[in-house]
Amino acid sequence: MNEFLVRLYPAAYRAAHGQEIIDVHREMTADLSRPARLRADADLLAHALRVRSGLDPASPAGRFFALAAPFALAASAVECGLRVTRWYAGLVFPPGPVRAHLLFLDGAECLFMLLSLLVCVGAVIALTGRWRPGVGVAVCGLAPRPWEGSKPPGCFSTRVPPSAWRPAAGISGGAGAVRVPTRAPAPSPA
Amino acid sequence: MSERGMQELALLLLTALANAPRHGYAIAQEVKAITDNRVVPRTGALYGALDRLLAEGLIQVEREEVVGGRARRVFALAPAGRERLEAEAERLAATAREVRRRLADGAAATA
Repeated sequence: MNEFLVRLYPAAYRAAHGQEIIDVHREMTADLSRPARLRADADLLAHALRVRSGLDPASPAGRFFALAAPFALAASAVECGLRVTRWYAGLVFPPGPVRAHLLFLDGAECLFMLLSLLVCVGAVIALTGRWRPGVGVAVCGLAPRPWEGSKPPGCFSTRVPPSAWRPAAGISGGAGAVRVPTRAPAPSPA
Repeated sequence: MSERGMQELALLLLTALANAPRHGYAIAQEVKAITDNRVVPRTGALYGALDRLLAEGLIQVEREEVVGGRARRVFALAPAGRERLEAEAERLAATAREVRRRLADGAAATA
């Protein structure tokens, strides 16, 4: 298992440090329970993938993404928040009872809005101090919609960004939301 | 790393290397001992942090030793890392002094 995990590192890194990492990992996981060992393996896997993708904290790209992540998260949250607001306005403002509109809702659309809401909630959690759980929630909302072509989940580095950047990201995201007025969709002529 | 506060794992790794050079597993064990088992670094997080500290010039590879036919790096605090750790210790001590002073003031006010 350890050998397989280390094979995920880039060849040069593996040649230089692979055996050392295998030995340390083996020693560190020797007395662990099976679930704890799986978590340790997942951590090693994540490190290998970060090094392979050039997003490890030691690389310039990794540092850039660590700084950019709160802003990307705020931008994603604003985008999703606006979408949810427009959807809600489209539900409430047209004439007729809301219940009648709800009856004709498309399942995929509901799921899409739920995922958007998840991104907003995750961003709020992350930008108000609990970065990792917040990013986890937001990525759950972003990951099932790769067709969106918005922010790739990988850009939310696992390195916790400096806390001073998070309010700044939240404020700039909020400013973006204020600048874009939300309107209910115009009623169709029919 | 900025001049604000260091992330906890980085601070603990530098602390583990403050009095002696150590290899990866020994550093992890030292961090466990320092924190009374509160922080148990996993391999990926440990090597990620060590790579970052190496890239920032806060630690250095002192030597490579061969144990059981296998090479492993022995890390040591670099001069910049020692300087940074001293600054961090001073910052933490100043915060602790202020906490004690305010707690004492609060206790005196309520007495």
